[in-house]
Amino acid sequence: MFLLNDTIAALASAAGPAGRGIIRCSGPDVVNRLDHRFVPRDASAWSTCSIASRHSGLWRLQSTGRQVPIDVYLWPNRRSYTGQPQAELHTIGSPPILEAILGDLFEAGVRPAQAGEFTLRAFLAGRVDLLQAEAVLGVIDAADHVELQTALAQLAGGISHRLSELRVEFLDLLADLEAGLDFTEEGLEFVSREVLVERVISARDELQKLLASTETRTRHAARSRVVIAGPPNAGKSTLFNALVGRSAALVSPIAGTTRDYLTAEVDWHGVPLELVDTAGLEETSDAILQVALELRAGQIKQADLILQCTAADDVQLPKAMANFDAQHALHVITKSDAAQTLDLAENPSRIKISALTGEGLLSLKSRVAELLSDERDGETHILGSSAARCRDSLEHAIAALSRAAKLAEADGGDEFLATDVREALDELGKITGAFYTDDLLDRIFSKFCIGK
Amino acid sequence: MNPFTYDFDVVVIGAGHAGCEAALAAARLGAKTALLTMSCDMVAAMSCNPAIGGIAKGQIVREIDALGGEMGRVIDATGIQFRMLNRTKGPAMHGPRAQADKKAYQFEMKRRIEDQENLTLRQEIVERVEVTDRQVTGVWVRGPALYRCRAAVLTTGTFLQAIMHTGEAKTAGGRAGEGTTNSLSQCLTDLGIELARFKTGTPCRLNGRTIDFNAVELQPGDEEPQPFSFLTDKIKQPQVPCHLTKTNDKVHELIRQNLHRAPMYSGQIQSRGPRYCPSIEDKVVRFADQPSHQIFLEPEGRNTREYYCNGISTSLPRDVQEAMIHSIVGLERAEIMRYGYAVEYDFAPPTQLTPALETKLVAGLYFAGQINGTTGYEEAAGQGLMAGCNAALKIAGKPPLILERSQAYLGVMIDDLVTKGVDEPYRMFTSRAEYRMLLRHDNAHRRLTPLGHAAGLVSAERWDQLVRLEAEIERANVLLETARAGGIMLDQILRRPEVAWEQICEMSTAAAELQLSPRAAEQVSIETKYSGYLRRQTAQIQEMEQVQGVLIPEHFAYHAVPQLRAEAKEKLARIRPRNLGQAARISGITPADLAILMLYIKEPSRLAL
Repeated sequence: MFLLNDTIAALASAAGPAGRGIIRCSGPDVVNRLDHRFVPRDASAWSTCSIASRHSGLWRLQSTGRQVPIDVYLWPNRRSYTGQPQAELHTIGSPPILEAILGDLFEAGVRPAQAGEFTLRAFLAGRVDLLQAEAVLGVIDAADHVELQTALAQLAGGISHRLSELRVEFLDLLADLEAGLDFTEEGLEFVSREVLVERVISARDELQKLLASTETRTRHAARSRVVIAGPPNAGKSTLFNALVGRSAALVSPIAGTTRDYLTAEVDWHGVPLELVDTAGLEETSDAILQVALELRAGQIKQADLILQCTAADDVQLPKAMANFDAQHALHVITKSDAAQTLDLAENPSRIKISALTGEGLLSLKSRVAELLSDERDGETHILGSSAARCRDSLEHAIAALSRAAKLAEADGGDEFLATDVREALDELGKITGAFYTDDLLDRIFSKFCIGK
Repeated sequence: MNPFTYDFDVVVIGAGHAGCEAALAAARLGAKTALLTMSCDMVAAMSCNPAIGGIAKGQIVREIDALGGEMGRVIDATGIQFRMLNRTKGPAMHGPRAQADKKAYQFEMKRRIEDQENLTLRQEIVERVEVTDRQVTGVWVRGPALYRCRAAVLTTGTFLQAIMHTGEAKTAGGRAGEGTTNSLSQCLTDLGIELARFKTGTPCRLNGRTIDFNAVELQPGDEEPQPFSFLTDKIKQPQVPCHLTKTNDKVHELIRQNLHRAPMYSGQIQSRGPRYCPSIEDKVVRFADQPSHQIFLEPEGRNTREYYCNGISTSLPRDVQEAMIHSIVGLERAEIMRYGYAVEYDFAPPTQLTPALETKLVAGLYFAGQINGTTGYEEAAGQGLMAGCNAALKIAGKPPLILERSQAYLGVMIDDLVTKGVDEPYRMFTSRAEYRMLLRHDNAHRRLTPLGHAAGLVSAERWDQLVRLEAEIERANVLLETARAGGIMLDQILRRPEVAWEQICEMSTAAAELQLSPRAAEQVSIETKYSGYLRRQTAQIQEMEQVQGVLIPEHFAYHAVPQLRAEAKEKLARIRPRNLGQAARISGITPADLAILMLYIKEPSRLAL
């Protein structure tokens, strides 16, 4: 659901390091919201501004207390793109700083924009025509869903899995509360106060941990993730070391040496990326190796690009080439020095390298950079907004649960507690896209014998 | 031979709880109304439990009353035990409930219908609805005779193709000892209306002379019984107690042994029943760990010894029912007067209706009550009131009265029905209402009587009473926000949980001089004490109003919106939401669908027609 008359903000420039970063903000309260953190060089020009104009100044970051230079382009009245007061914040294109500024805005009561919201407002104000608006909105349905999923995957470490677990926990809690409200005549035992307080608090703490983990994760999200994968002894770690330029991975001729995964942050042709080395694809009963394999599977899932390695002297090579899926992947034929006679047809998604001689390494890097920058252009800014929306929802859910915890401890009424737990669920629903009414009744009826 | 013909504006088919309110509402709005029933002796019959109200249901009765309906006044006049449920919780959770004297209730309602100007009660068996050019033009009854009319309200309860089950025995009929209607179902199907089947059940009734009341627990009514109607000052009649007993291992074992003879388990009944009102056999199977289940022994009236066994609805065969009852403490020698049974009946999935409860297929045809897949006297009566009112408004050329989710439980219910449909008999719960702090039983008149007044549903007496109350509340609020006691603002003091209006009067002579009525004092204290939550919910409603305010034209061409997904097109075209808010509540409709929809609502000329 969307509103049209509150103040929204989102990153307008592409995610990731760039020369300049832009945040767009629209709504009736733009000036007030910016006032929380924006210190204009010419305060009187800012406060009396009545026409579209540029204001230079400093942004006081709440998180660090530091100040960053910023230019605010302000449209103080309806004569803007969205037909409402609007501002664009231009500053250094550093993801952590842009994110901190967005965080400050959300703190000041600005809502993270949904994908397409600026366009919708612009259309309603008559600033863009239907065809233009359609072009933007028409793709959003699919894109927004994918973006949210991507954002969730990138916020990573299984956050979406934990979110759905938490959602179930909240639903159970709410079901207990609601059953105690709607079915008091049934002579049933519902949840006790002590247990209730404990459950609310533990749910809130869980969310807080989740929020903290997303904060560190989004920084990484700005980097594309390139995962080196392949069967044991395909030369993955050797490739990793050759590409990173140091002996980061333990290399050995024994299959299965890389038991965990290794990462390195590198910049290739101006594209920031995270290179990940994974364990081999062998089946195993070894418990530690099993964990490593699971980690690897997670890494591959989150990859923006997979470097699928096969050794040139591997007897499975023809089969591997036949089965190779070029979607988000490059097929890397390693150890080309070991099979000089190998004759490979030209193919944009296949590359032959030798870590020993250095053959193909440079072209591999430029090919990777090329593929990733294409992909990043397609993603544009929505990814950053989705992550911000996830975090905003988490924060609101935490606030609601904190109120609930306070109320539960003070022995407040269950109906008020339920209101807060519902709010928390609504917020999680915004991330996972699930609603609760039917779930809730299902839960009550399966748990309690209702029926006077 | 020419058939007899009669001329009416509105014909209401069925005189149950929905039909009675529908007919009264239509007649009060000036429509010449006929109320047709299979038996004039069965007006407003309580087919199942002899009680009105409960949690969420009690709120609905208060809303019906606030809109000028009759249910509240009739139960106030004839109830035999009154209790306010959930009294230990906050005011939003309070639910008034009363045991009814079944026969007294029926007679009281019947008399009020007989007294109503513009309303004709008549015993007829309805065969079909006459439709010309997708518009209702009359109702055919057996005889034959034709009731010409411009609108018909169908309130058929469980009587459409009804089959009753007791064990292996099957009987045609919608209620013990009564018949069924098959031709109406055929007529609806012919009109293109889709029908489906639900199941519900009822427990056995016992002769009180044979119950050992010393062996069971006493459950008295409230010492100060609260009336349902805002027009009733006080409940004066003496109260009758209920009693409590419970099932045990032996009963559960009996049920398990005979499960193969229960129609729900033998496959004899396929249709779905309500999960919140399961039969005792369902309870025993689904909650195998629970050692016993409560049974409320409720008297069916002052002039009868018949008792209703609330909690053990069953369709097991007679011999098992007998053995079960005799294994229960206090009922060892009890005599069954009527055996329990399950009933299967046709209903019309309510997504075929507009929020005015008019069918989308046939103009002037309204559905209310169990035909819409609901259960409960209160739910039925509420729909009846709205359908009757809207039928009369339409004939008068006026826009329909549609209650929002933020205004009433009735609004929540009808919106749920027409937007989401039902997959089990629909009963109201407070958890269905997102703004339940605001939808309290104590303020139903303040929420709804102004709307009822504007529509012409409420009496002058009711309206004057509300105007006086609002004036009192206004004076008190002004005082609370401006006057102090001991340096503290009065509203701050009243916000404390332990402080009542009487204490404010002791601290402030100005407050005492207001001489607030108890009802005004109650409103003022509740709204002051819960102001934080009320403000938050009010703010949420205001946020929602933006989308609720974007109206969708009635015959909007969803198929001509190129960007909408096929699923969204299909759902929107079927439900035909009246505004963007309702569209958003359809399951599977995404924010992107809404955004796209909004583009075309604002510029319909661009539709690819």
